[in-house]
Amino acid sequence: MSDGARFPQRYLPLLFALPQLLALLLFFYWPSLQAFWWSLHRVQPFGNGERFAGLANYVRVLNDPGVLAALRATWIFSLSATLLAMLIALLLAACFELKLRGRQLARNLLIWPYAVSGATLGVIVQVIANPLFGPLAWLNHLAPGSWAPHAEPWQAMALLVVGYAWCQVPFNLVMLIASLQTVPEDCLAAAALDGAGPWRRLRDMQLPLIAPYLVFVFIAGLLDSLSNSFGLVDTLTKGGPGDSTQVLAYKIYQDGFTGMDLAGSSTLSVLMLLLVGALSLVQWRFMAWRSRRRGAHG
Amino acid sequence: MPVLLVVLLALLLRPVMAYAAEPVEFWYGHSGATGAVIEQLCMHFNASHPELRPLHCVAQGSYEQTLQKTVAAYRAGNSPALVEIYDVATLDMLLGGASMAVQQVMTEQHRQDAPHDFLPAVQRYYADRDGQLAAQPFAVSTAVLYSHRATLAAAGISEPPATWEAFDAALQALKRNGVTCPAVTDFNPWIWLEQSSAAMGVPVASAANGTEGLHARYRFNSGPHPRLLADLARWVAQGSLVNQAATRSGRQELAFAAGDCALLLSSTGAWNLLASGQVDDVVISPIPVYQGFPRQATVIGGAALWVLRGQSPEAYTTVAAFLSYLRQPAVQISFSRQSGYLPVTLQAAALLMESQPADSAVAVGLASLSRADGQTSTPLRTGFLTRLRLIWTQELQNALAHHSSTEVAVQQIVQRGNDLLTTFEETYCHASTL
Repeated sequence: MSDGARFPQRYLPLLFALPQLLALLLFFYWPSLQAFWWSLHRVQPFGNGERFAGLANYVRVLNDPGVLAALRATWIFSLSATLLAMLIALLLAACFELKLRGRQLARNLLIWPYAVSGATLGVIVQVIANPLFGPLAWLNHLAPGSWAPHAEPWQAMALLVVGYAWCQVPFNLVMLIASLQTVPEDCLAAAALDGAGPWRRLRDMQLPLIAPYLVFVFIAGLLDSLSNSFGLVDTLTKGGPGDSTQVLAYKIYQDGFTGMDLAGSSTLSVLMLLLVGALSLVQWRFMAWRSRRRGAHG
Repeated sequence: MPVLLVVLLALLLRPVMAYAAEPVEFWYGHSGATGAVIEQLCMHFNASHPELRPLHCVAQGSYEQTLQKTVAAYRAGNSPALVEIYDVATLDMLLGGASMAVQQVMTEQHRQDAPHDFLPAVQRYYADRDGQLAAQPFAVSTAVLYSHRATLAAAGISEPPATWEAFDAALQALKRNGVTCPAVTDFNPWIWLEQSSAAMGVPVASAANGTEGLHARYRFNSGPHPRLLADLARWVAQGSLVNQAATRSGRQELAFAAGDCALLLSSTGAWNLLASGQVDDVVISPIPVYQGFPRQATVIGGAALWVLRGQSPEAYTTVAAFLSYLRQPAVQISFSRQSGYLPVTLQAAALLMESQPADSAVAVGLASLSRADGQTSTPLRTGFLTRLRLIWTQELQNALAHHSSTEVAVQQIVQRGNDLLTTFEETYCHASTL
């Protein structure tokens, strides 16, 4: 039996794929090429008088204190949100492995938050975080001014991280539940018979066995957080207070669409594209290495 | 067969027929009550000019969104004939080559008889280097100080503060009197940097605030601005100047209108929003200046109407007629009363002042726009102004959050702003006129 479907005509498959390829070309590759082109030019918003500038845009963008602040905010946000979303999902997934009553219902309910858009979530978190009438307002009654996410950078960042992680937990949960089910049941049963409790089984058996999945979830989450945070930032903090939550994706929008600096914004986009590309490469390399290792052992 | 022919003929003629009935697009950047007023203006204009191609007025969201969409539409060759663009993009509009000077359009369309006695401050703001009106001022406002008279009186203050020293004293007195929000702010550099510098007669940038060329650079790191920022930081630290985000409504105008805060520095255009609250005791006065700085005129803000290139002659006929219609004193007075914006011609201003108390937002705003001797202030005309405003807010909030020196922050703002001006100059280096 053949290991894959084959079309007798040579170009027919290409024809079937053409609509999707055209959409990709039009909405992904063309804008990326345009951004790269603009990053090498001085660009006027209305399009007249475009001039070649070499790498001047890259030099000025990399020397801009605002860009360095955005990189710092992006790093803190992406790493914290991704790790928090993984940790919560892992704990929940481990709980589901305990075969508690009602887990089917709970599993379904926990998937739902994934459907909430970042912008909607931003508005919800903003209401929850209101320093005067939100659930945390009691902090200000105890110590006036102690809860002020509009003025305290770390509090604004914490809100963003928690909000984003809340949205990402469902995806991670699905992945980690699936990965935990790959752990051989008889091994876990044997460990339980030997007296290993749920925590011990998780730490010494399940975690090492699902480590490759954890790496995948971590890198995928990190990649997602670079671009998908825009809606949440726009509705929750608008990059503030100061530039403390101005992540790279939001700075690109502000510089380009609000500030009309199309060249600078495009340059930042290209740099972000390179960053995402590098992370994807790490992910591919890891998956390839893992696959080779499994092949060698198998 | 004849049916098929008729269908084919109709299809062939469709573009021509569509062109004949095609409305002329006007994009504006308002929603809510002001958006409804603009929609009414359009309806009245279309009803009174049935002989012209109709004007199709489309709300495009905020000022920022309207500019973004205009840029995208112009690049795609599908721009509106007339568009409302906010003040910060004036230089991009002047240099971008996408628009035609309003004065030129009015001359070409034989509309010289339309009122053109614009207020001097307004004329100066939207005039190009040759003094020709590049855009028609539309939603015009300036900065004023709003005070709750009764709250001030309870703290022993009889007059709204006219100087920053008096403002400081008022904040302390209000605080001592138990007022939890003596003044509220949204940290808007339009007020704290641009308007306050204009009121003190201190340029924000060299080369006459940028009106003399793209070689202008910011210089507000000297003069009274660092002192104002240091005072502002002190007031915030004392809790006497409250961030609008820390108020119940989250918006400075609403916090003031509800009586939660005693003082507010805002635009004259905010009056309509304020009028919905407890405003019986509100007194409006010019924004403060430091002692030793003779009071100068403030500058205008808001938006103007720009005529874009690439339209048919019929479209420009409609546009010129609409611009002419908007200049009529009755239309301006009606628009001003309903929207809170200032009238833009001398005749309309004089007529409106006859029916307005001298301490109304419009009257105080109009008086602020010129000195006693009639002199106006030079508008700020620098590139990437939106980005400078953002940098100003970010650096200030960083300094407030980390309790660091505002002196360092202002140096940083000027340096980053000047880097942007260098980039802007390189981007538009071929442009000869402002």
